[in-house]
Amino acid sequence: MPFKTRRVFLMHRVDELSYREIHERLGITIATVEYHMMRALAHIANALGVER
Amino acid sequence: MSPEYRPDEIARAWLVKMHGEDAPGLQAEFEAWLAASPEHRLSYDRAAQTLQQSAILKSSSRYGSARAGARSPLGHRRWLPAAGVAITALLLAALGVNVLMPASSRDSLIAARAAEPLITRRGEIRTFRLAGGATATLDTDSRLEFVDANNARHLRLARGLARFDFGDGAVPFRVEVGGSVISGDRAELDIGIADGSVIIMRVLSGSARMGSRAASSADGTILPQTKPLRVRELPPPDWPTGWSEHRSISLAALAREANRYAARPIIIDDGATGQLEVSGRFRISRPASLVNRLAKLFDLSVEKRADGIHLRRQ
Repeated sequence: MPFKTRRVFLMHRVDELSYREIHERLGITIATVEYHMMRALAHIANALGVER
Repeated sequence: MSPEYRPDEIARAWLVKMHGEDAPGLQAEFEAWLAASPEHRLSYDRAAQTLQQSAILKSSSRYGSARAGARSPLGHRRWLPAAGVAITALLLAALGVNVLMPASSRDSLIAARAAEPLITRRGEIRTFRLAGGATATLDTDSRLEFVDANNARHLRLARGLARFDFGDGAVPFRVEVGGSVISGDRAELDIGIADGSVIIMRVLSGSARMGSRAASSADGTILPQTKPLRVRELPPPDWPTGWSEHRSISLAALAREANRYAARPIIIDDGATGQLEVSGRFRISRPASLVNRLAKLFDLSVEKRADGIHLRRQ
């Protein structure tokens, strides 16, 4: 998983930061935060074999 | 969201959007998408389960809240699912790391967000730890939702069967099931639902009331202990173990129990075989293994076909 995607995903899921808080901390748009979240979920679904 | 995308991709996009601050404004559009196709619901459940399982990362020494630069997690709005080491390994692999797994999976209980339903797949039995020490064990193909994101004891059983243990009595519980609500302070109980109504209701300890969702919880009927209510087909009391014990049961009845967990159902081709009686303790949550044991015991033939695993006399 790309570093930026992993960082956003962990900030949201582990640190429980909202998209807005991640946007403020990393200086990226909320849409970019959402993009990284979707990308991370796709990676994980692929690794877990639940992708259809 | 464009139809050229696969349902799983759209489901992930919805899941991400519904965790954002725009969620309230998107609720109607989201529910319309969910209702548009059963495939949408399945895709969304898969995505939600993936996200839910990712909460195990909090227990990771490398990626958990103890990692460098991480903020301390919030102390509210959480419940604690008992997650497996294998899932952690896969998630960490997805993140691009190789790690040694901890020796004890019981130490890796972690929190997840109350916006996500708890779901079990067909064949899976799983225990989730709720806030305050209560637990919910979901039987195969079940779905438990949180009605109130700030109260992990206000729940809705949308599908399947669950054993709740609210034995600590810290806060009153309330479980919505179809048009009914089951409530109380301290109880261990089984609740099952099919076709929008309660089909299994068994109080194992403590006390609970059942009433309509429209009425206040205090107006409900007091449920008796041990005597099940509204039973269509009562599962064995020790169903959370995945085993079933019988002094005597027909193969047909045993196959029905095991088929609740089967990806491919057990089909008994002739009536005489279905009436054969067995006794003992059976692992019904492993139907394929059960079939092989029964076939050996009674010298039956086993044939795997597209519609199921057929058992018959040789």
